[in-house]
Amino acid sequence: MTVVEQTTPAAPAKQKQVSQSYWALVWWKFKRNRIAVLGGILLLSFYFGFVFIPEFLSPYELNHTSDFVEAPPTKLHFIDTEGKFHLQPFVYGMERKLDFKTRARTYVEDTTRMYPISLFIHGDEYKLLGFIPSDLHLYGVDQKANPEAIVLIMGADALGRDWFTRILYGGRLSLMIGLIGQVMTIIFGMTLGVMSGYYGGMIDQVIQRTTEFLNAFPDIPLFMALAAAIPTFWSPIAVYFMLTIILSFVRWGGLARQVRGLILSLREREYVLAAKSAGASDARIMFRHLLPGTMSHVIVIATLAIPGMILSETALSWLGLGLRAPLTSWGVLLQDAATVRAIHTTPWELWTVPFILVTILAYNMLGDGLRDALDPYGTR
Amino acid sequence: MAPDMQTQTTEAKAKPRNLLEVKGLKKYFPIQKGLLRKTVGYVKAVDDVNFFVREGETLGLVGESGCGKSTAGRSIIRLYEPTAGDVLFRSRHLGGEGNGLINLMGLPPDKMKTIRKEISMVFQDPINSLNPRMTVSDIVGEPMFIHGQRMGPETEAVIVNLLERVGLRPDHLRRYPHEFSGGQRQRIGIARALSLNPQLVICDEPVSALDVSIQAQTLNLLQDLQQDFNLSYIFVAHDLSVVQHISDRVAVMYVGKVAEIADAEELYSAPLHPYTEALLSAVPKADPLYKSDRIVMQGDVADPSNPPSGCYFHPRCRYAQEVCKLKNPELRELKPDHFVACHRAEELKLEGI
Amino acid sequence: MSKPLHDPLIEVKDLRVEFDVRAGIVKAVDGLTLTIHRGKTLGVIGESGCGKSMTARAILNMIPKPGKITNGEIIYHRRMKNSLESQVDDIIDLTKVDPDGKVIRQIRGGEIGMIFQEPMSSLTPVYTAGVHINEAVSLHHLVPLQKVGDQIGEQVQAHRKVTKEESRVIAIDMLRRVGIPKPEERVDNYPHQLSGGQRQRVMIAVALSCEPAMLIADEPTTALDVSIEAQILDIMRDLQQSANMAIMFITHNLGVIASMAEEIVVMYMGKAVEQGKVLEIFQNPKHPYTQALLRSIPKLGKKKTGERLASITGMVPDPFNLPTGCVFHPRCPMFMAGKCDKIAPQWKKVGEDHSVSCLLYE
Repeated sequence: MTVVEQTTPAAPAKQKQVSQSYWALVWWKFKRNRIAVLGGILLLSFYFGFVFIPEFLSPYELNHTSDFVEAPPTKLHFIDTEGKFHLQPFVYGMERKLDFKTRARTYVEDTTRMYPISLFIHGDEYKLLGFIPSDLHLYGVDQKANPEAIVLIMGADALGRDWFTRILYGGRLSLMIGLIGQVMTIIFGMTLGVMSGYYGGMIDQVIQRTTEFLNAFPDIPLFMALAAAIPTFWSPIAVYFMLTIILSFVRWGGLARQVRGLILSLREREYVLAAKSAGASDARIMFRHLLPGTMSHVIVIATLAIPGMILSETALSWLGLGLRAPLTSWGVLLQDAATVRAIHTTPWELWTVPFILVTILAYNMLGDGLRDALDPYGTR
Repeated sequence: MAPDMQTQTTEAKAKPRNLLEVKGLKKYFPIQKGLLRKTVGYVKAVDDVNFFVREGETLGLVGESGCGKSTAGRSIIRLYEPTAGDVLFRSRHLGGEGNGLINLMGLPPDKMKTIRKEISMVFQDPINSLNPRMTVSDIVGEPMFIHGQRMGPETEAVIVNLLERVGLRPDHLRRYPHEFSGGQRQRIGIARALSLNPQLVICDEPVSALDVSIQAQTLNLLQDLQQDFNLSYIFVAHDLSVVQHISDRVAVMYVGKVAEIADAEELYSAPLHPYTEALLSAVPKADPLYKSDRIVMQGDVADPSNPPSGCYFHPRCRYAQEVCKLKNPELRELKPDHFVACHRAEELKLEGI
Repeated sequence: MSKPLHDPLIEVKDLRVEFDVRAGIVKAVDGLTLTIHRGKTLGVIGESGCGKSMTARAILNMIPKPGKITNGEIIYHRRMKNSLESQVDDIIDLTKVDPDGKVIRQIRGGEIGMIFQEPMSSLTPVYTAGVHINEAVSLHHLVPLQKVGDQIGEQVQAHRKVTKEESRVIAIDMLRRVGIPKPEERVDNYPHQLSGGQRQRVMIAVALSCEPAMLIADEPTTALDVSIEAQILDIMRDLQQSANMAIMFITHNLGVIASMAEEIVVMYMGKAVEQGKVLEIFQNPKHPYTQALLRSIPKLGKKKTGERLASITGMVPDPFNLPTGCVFHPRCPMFMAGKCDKIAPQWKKVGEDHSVSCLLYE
């Protein structure tokens, strides 16, 4: 009656391989994909910079207006008019001139006034993360000593606000709407998808027909209809949350279908039967055994869908149906640059576009890498 | 049908009591077609099956693919809700009426959950039967967790004990299923099945996916555990020699019905059903000198959604007569403890091994 | 066929197949030598991962990436069909031919047929796409949406240049020979309309339609029920006799091998450990692994109650970390310390047509 005889490990017992969980294997494989890691690093820094510390990165406060209306980007100089090299970059003062013929504003540099740009300079006051009072900015000119000086690395808008500052603050809303919207989509989509796949029957029918109904609508008109239904007197923040809900409401269907398909195949796995035969409840089977199995797919789908979310916000806001001033998002900023006149006179307002592009590209790089990494056992 | 099976057999000798009695068990899967999912027919996977399991014994359930042996096993513990029939079980936790047996059909969910402590399952596929995202400790401990035992040092000690019992090391506790070989995974599955100290274990093709040498280890382990824990097994398999090796009694199934049930030795040496005879003859023997007049069954296994008339085996049976096409034979006890469903069982002289 | 025993068809000499994967090099086949004679059946048995399927693939030069034949030769004695017996055979080393070239394409399917346990999954990765459509089509017997008749027809056409009508006649005839009822109707059926046993028969028909000199059968009946298995084995035996075809029969089922093979090679971890006549192997096994393997299967009809099976202790070793000396020594009941773990055993003749690779006999 000894089973011990059978346990003799055949291979030398010194297995150096440490036990690796599924996610450890995923991480190991993901790390090897440089493009995906680059995408991930870009996104992490974007989210950190735009969502948490735009106040610090920008030289001014969001609503810091100035007289420099629609000023072009200020040039950074290292060498002054006398040919002397300065280690610390500086800007010249700007003077506004009105061209009486074309009635256009032009700005010329006044080389007599030099303002050095410093790092970690004290300027506008703000509260970091909403509660840490500070007035430290990454870069800028000393406002106390030279109130007339200004640094606008991406130009200014019609109210004389620094465009780079606005992009940073706008990124906060645009990036968050993608993330929050996607989280809500996942919650909707997974819950309904799991129920649909696990219970089948009537529940399945109702959920599937609803997703088909939603999918049958063209996106933009549906957004427009829903967005138009948001009362105009709502506060911009309420509009923002409403918009997030609308975006995820329209998009959960696709995810729910994919999850349902996965559940249908996982449901027949013997480990699900094993749990059932041990007396596990439906909820336990769904959330302990079925959902984790779909996580990898859901993460990939979600990662690749966030850009769509961000673009939808941008498109809606650009159409004037999404976020509105005084809120600042990338869509709102694009709307400012939406006219031919704006592109002609203030082309620097298109600086928003590269930020959107890089974000979307980074998401796709990350998503593709995740898709490869989440199947670490290879093709089985 | 043999509703009085149990009474007859218990009178015969002082055999152990019946632990489980399956009576008239049916499981039909609907075939749905079209937009409105109209039911156009049924796959009669299990069609009026009767058998019983005595305490401490192993009942082998053998048959070709599609004969409903796995479905029958799963229907007993209502993994698939049976279409009809009764499953009577002698529970330690719940008292039954009269003869001490409790009917699992129609049992409310909370009581059924208690029963699940006493009947557990071992599955076929060593890859699919363990959740790849859970550690060995989670997998083996899950049944205990479901039945209200919190994870802690005590539970872990129980798990370690189980692992050692099935021939795994305690340091395997934190590992994931993909780090084990097929045979080891099957041991994990067996440890899980034993974690609630069951009376009856339904083994669903537990060694079919394993290599020959690993298969022998696993069969030995199952036999050891049976003695140590006083377990009863329902052993579902398609390999006749494996079933013979491990079983005390064997039930042969064909297209959802039981063709024959008997003591293992008797069934193999003196079968009463032509299907059993043909099946035994068809098994390739690991002996190059063995030359037999092999009975080659013609055609394929009948389609359970559209079975033939009368006896389902008659189109392939070399002894078939007119009555076999017309009447469905009932399972009857021809000799003590030897049940067969064949019209001609008395007159035929069949060969065993 | 004057001297059937010394009429070799395939001679595998010191074959090594290695897989260079991330975690290291796996020796799938490690110094294997065997001979397949014309018209005879060689059984190859072993547990999963012992390299028996890789040997078969090496013969057809179809090792999947990242595997490679790193050593040895596979001598194929090619005899043209319809030629006189006195004619000298062409001698081809199959390891040297271009794996996508014309010669091997003629051999594959045309002169050496193959049946798999699962045709779809075991074939796809091996072929480079589009290079030899004919080959792919003919070996992918069960491509969906292709009629059974077409598949056999294509095979015949690819290798023999016959007309469409002729190939249909051949297809029907082949289906009849493998025992498919109503072949005139079945020839127009799609694979999903056939049962598992019928599909396997169609596969055999496809493989045999060009009257190959050898058939490689890789676990051809493992997925089938015993009643169907018996039918298929009967068909294979009949066809072998009528066509004087050699069969390399790969399986882990000792019962099947006992009834099919004349000679047996037992493999363990990429190496052959024992080979000989089927009777010798079953009645007088020499290698401890063969002995254990034979003892570990439950025997039908000879039962003592409560009997335990003799099992091989331990597990198959890690392929990246093979034991030194004899690869079987950690599991061997006859282990001799200081010897088996140090010295790699050599082949030793222990009887007529029976040799073993074990230090017990050296």
